[in-house]
Amino acid sequence: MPHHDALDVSSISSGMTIAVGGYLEQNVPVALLLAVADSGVRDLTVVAAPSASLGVDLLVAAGAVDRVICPYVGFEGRGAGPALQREVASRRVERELCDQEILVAGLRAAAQGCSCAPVLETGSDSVHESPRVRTVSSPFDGSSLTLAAALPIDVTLLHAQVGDQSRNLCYWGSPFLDLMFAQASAQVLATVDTLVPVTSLAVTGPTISGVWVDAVAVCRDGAWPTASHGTYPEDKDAVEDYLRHEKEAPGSGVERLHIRRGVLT
Amino acid sequence: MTSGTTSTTPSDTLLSPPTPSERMALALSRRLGPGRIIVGAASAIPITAVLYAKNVRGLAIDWICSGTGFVNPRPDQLWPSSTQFEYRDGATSVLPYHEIATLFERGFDYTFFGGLEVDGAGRLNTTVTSSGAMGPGPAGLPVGMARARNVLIYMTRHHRRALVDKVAHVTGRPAGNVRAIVTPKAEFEMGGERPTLVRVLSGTEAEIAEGTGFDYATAAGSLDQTISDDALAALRAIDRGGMLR
Repeated sequence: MPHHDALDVSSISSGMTIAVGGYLEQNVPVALLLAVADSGVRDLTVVAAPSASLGVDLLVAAGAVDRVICPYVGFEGRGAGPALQREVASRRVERELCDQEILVAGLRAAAQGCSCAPVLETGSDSVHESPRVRTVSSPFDGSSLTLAAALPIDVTLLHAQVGDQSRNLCYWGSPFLDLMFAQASAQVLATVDTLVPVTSLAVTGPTISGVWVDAVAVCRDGAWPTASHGTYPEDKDAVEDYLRHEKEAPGSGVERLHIRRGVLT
Repeated sequence: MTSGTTSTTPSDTLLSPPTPSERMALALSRRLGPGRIIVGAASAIPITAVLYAKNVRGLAIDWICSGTGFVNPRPDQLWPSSTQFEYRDGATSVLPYHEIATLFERGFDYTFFGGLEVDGAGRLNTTVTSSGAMGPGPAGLPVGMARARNVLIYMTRHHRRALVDKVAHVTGRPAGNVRAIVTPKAEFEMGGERPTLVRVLSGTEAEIAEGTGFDYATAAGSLDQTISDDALAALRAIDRGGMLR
């Protein structure tokens, strides 16, 4: 069995909305994201977990993005995403105000095929100033009701530890928000560290059923330099190398990822 | 080991004075009670506070790493991020994120938040400062601030640019639930018309005044934080790797 399948991201075209799985520096489908960056697509809207980092920033750095819908893009004590900061400041990329509630409600509504879903009234400026939020009167008791617009996804990109031939995915650690992304998405592409026969996951049951997944490719370092939860840890040197270069010269962080990835493989 | 510039034996380590981060962890821990606690990502100080309350004080606590959904981990040491797989150690279950979101919405007992700016009303800003500096964003702060019964704010720097008169953006709006603001230098108690300085964790009262941009009162009596050798030893048994040193 090869360690790396060809990563086919040809179904992603300019202007689409894509979701990036994983969380902060864990389970981010970096190999797929680099393939997207290399494909030359532009004007993507990127949606990511309530806390995201490298996955969103590298797509922005590659010039593939014109809008980001993500509650948090940062590197846990190492600062916010440098490419996102730069591109938002120069108005080349729009960052929509969005918190966890707006994201989760939007995905839930998209999975249900509804136009919107209710969110809690939290009093946050980040909610009131979001273009995705409206307040109406409840038809039941007239109380104030805050609604978030549906957030349908064209293609979701995921990384899991194990997959099988029925496209089931199994996670050793946390599945994060990956299932919600998959359920709100028209198409789901995943990389896995290991591919096993379908019967191997039948006993314990998969974390995400193949019902929600369209394609699985084996890519052992598919999440590198982020961690693949329970298989390998974050490569902090490589992440810091990305940050250092991306702060110095736009796009050079992505080049460094390609170079170091070439050494790996 | 990340602390200090000289090597130490275990007994030396026990005798060395507590660091500001260790003092923050103990100050936060003392304010915890039993119940469900949600802890965020880069949270070595709050995690130490939770583990101290659970393991040393014996409080009945269920704690959840908010990113991963690991429930009641029992790590051998602290790790830089609660999202790391290492916090799977000893966890009794794993909540997928949509269940964490539901837990946030239903309400829970305690949580911890930090940010770019906090003001004297306990309002937190993680979005953008008045100078235009962009923060990482709100993540789960708005719903956490709205639904937690008790919020403990911890700021990793004590500076007028962080402890401000009025935040530039209200990312997290308190619901009468902020109990304290803890910094490397000071512990402020909330609940009155303005915060009250109740303990000096490091430095002097004058330095605290210099670095605080919001109006506050000062409690009567001693502001010293007394930490016994036993308490410090117990804390360092939790933080075996010395992340807070």
